[in-house]
Amino acid sequence: MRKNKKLMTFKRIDGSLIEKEINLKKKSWDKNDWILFAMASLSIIFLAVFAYAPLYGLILAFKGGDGYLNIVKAIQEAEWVGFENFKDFLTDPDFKDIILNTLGLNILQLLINFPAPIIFAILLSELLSDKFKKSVQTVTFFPHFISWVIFGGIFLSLLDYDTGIVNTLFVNIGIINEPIDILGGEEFFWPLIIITSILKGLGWGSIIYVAAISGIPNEQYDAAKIDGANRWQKIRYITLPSIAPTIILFFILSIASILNNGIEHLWVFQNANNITRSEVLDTFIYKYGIPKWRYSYATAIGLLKSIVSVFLLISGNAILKKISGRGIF
Amino acid sequence: MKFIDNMNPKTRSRLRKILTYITISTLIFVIIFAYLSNIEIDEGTPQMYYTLDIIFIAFVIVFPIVLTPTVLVIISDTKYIKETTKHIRKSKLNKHIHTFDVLNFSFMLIFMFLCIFPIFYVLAGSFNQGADYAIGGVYLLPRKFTFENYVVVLKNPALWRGYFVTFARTFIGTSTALVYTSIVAYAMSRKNLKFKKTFYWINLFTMFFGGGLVPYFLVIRSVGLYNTFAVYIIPALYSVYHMIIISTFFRSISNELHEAAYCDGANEFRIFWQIYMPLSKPILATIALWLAIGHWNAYFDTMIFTNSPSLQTLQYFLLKAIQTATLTEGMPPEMMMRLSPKTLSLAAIIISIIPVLFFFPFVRKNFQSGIMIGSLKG
Repeated sequence: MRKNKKLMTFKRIDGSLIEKEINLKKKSWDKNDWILFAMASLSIIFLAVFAYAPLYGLILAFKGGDGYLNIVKAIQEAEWVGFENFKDFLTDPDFKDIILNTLGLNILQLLINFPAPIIFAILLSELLSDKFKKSVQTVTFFPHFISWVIFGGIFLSLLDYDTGIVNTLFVNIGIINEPIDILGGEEFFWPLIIITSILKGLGWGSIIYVAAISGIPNEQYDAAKIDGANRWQKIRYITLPSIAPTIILFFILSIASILNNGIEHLWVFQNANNITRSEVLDTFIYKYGIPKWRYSYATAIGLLKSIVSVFLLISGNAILKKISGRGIF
Repeated sequence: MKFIDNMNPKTRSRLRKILTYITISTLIFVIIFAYLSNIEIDEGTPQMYYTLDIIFIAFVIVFPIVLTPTVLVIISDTKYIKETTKHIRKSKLNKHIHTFDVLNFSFMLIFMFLCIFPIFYVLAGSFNQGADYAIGGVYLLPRKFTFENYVVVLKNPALWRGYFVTFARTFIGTSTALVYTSIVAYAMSRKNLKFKKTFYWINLFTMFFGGGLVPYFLVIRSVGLYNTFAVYIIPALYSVYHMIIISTFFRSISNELHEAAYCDGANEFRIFWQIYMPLSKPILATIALWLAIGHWNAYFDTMIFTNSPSLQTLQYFLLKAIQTATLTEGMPPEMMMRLSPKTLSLAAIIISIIPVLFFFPFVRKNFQSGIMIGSLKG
């Protein structure tokens, strides 16, 4: 027998005895430790290439590496330019518009699209018939399963200037006097984005709150009913406090993503006519970074963006911790 | 009548279901053909109208024949259900319906309509002749019926290539990512993993800090994935978020199973593969669904990481069809007179929705339970 190992006898439930080697020295690795380590290392291999290498690539933001296709070469060969790329962006004539659009769209989404699924879930839980509730859920889930291309394509045809239902039916009925160019008008872009993301995401977004509400014990509602609480009081004093942890968690996460506009969503609706209200950081980074080969410039904008989001995440978490005593870290 | 009343309740309720389906589908056919035989069909011949009339009349004759037994079965079945559930139903009577309930109900109806209506709108447009559609006013039913849009779109080789690429990436991408992520999730769920904290922080860090689009793009280019099929699979192999959800589920599986297998001499990988994976089917199904939706609907990676037409996915094909008139490219002018890119892209939309429609009812039941598990514990 080797050192650090001891043969011990165990008694099984059925009374038979079993002998097993027990490792006394904790630090030596046995076969299973190696297997587990190898399994966990798969994540390191993946993240090293697809998460940490791009992080290292952020150095490009301080270099003049436009046009290099190999990231190692770009970082090694390109010369340092300091904060030149950031300066370029801050003095860009479109800078104000882009920041306004990014923040405006996201704050609107936070104010409208964040509470909407919560309200929807509460309304769902107030429905009398369970069968009807299930069919509502099924139908409202459906838009989540189709892509933004299809969903956007459907809306492009609904709102089309010549043939869309809004511009033909509403004119015929007399709600509006003449066709409106909704897709080409810059003032319609923000409402369009908000409405489409509500239609696509409301049912799906409410799942988590529906799950949280269904976890509330029924006795609480029964007790409240005996005490004479009306529907609003039940929602206010039982439902909302019970799902508050879920709400806070998702609120912090959505604050952190305040600078991310779903690019797949915006891209379908963006066109040359509404560009002043539809250009956001994400689309701008894509346009400069990929087709125009201005890698360093786009990296610098991306770096600015992620610094602000991390700052928002940490401060949002800190504020909520102070107010409610709960945070995510 | 007596024969139905004396039937086994179970068989009767099954019969009721089957008969209801048959009756409803017959009714739908009656309506469809009533509509088709009265509508202007693009390039329709008298013979076609005549055949449609005959089919319509045939369905009208068949309908009452199907309807009678269905009604009889339903009547006797509801009688039976009413009698057996008398004691339960009584307690429901003291539920009042308030104005709020009515408002809530109608709001839900309207919202359901808003979710469903666009699909019918697209369906109507896709069966309408292009030049006629351009006048406007086609909302729920096609005005000038034609299959031509579908014929033209289905003849497009790019659509089939897109379909093939999308199917391949959805299938391969989902299965590989599921296995890869759960391997890591298993290791992270074990208490005896060495350097567990280090692994955990290395993973968690990437959830909040990222390099952004351009460095990521350059990395993809540098490792040689640019413009290959693997660019759809390999960068999507692993996700920290999914790993955390799966490993939370693994942790909830009783440790005694692990100990028993360990005593029998199974190593960690075997325990993972033969015990933990089969036990985690609900959560794996949910994650697989998320992955599959992501793969099926993605188009931005095609736009960024590929440039050869043979790697175009279905969604990218659609994007081009919607934004530019690629579907009418290179067509003879006399066809261009009748077709419009608008109706063609509507037909393409319907063709690409069909797999989702087919898939949807099967997964619907599964995902809700799975998501509850994931959300409440995660």
